[in-house]
Amino acid sequence: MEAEICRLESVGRASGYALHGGLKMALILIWISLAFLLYVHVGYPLVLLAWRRLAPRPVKKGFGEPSVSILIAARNEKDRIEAKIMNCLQLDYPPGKLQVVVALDAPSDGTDQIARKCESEIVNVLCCSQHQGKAGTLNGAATSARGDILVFADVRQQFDRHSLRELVANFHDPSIGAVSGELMLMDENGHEAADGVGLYWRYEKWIRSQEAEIHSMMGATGSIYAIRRELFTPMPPDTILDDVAISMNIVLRGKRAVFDRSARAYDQVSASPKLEYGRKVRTLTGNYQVLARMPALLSPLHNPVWLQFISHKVGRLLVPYFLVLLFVANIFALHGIYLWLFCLQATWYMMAWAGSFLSLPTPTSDTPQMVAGGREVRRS
Amino acid sequence: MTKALLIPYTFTLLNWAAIVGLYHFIHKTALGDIWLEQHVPVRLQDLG
Repeated sequence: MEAEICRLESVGRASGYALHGGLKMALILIWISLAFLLYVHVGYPLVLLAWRRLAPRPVKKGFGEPSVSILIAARNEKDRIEAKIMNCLQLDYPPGKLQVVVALDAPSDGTDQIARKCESEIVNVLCCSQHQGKAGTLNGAATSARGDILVFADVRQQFDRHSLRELVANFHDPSIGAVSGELMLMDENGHEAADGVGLYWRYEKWIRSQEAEIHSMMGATGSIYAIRRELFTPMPPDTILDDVAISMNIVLRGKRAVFDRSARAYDQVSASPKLEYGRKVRTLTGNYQVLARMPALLSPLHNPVWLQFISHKVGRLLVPYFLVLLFVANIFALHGIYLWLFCLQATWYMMAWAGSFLSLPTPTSDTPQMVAGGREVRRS
Repeated sequence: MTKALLIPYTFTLLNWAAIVGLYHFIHKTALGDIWLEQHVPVRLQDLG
């Protein structure tokens, strides 16, 4: 950048003009923005790759059978709750070591009646009369849990039969405090989605797996993650991201939060990016909340994965502002390579605009497809 | 072709979500998602 500014200044002097201060500022902002964006999306993944090669920390899995409580928080889920409970009961795990806690947040559609039909020694149904929010409901579920390991699950996603055993095996390693399974977003053909949202999710999972192999991922997947019971601390009831708050709290307490791709849950990919957008807004609002409530995450003295947290979580929150900065600054520098850069950006956003017309939602089944690689994984 | 257009669209939309997310966080507006619309103090005795 300095060389470019010097070159432009010399050109300016040669032609009798001083380089305009605004242009100089625009060039500085362009290069700062470019450096930041490249670091977040390219540099950081490369850092992770190198770090993982130089200092990997593999998890010492051991297939014991500690007692496990699966916590399912739900509200109005009458169409899915029974399938989810059946899914839990069909997992490859000894029934005597398993508890399923279904915590219902004041349902109004009869979910509680359906869940009560499934009650047994293994399945416990809790129902509160007032809305608590998801975090509050999970707090209540945790107080009823008997297992040494707490597994958090959502109603919509279905676990692979061996997921629980794989998740739990990670706790054989005493340094592990939390484990996230892998959420597979499947397309209508039963393959892992690779368009738009699916591609983004695959990239995100790759980043998480690299981070976990070094130390810890930055937040678990809400639909399938597990922690040691003694590490659970009740959350404020308005917590938006229980998965990030719980797992990062465990990391701050000195344990690792890892990602195990052999423990899988299945869901359908959002029918269009617009549907995923709503979920993402909620996730990112939750990230701001996590930052506000857990300021220790921003301190390298307290957060053992500070660099990863800043690069991944904080970096992602700042990316859109640097994208805007890059575009606006580029408007004031439309010459040479900067003109090409501007054309690239303009093309990108025009493609995005065109893409918005292709992403109209298509009707999908409410039930996640239980297929992977073209074969049925499990169907009750 | 569709995929080529959906990638920039998804990328742009999800980045825009970060800005909207900040707006929601600052203004503490209801997200209207999952079932977090109503925030009341947790009362564990209501459970079970």
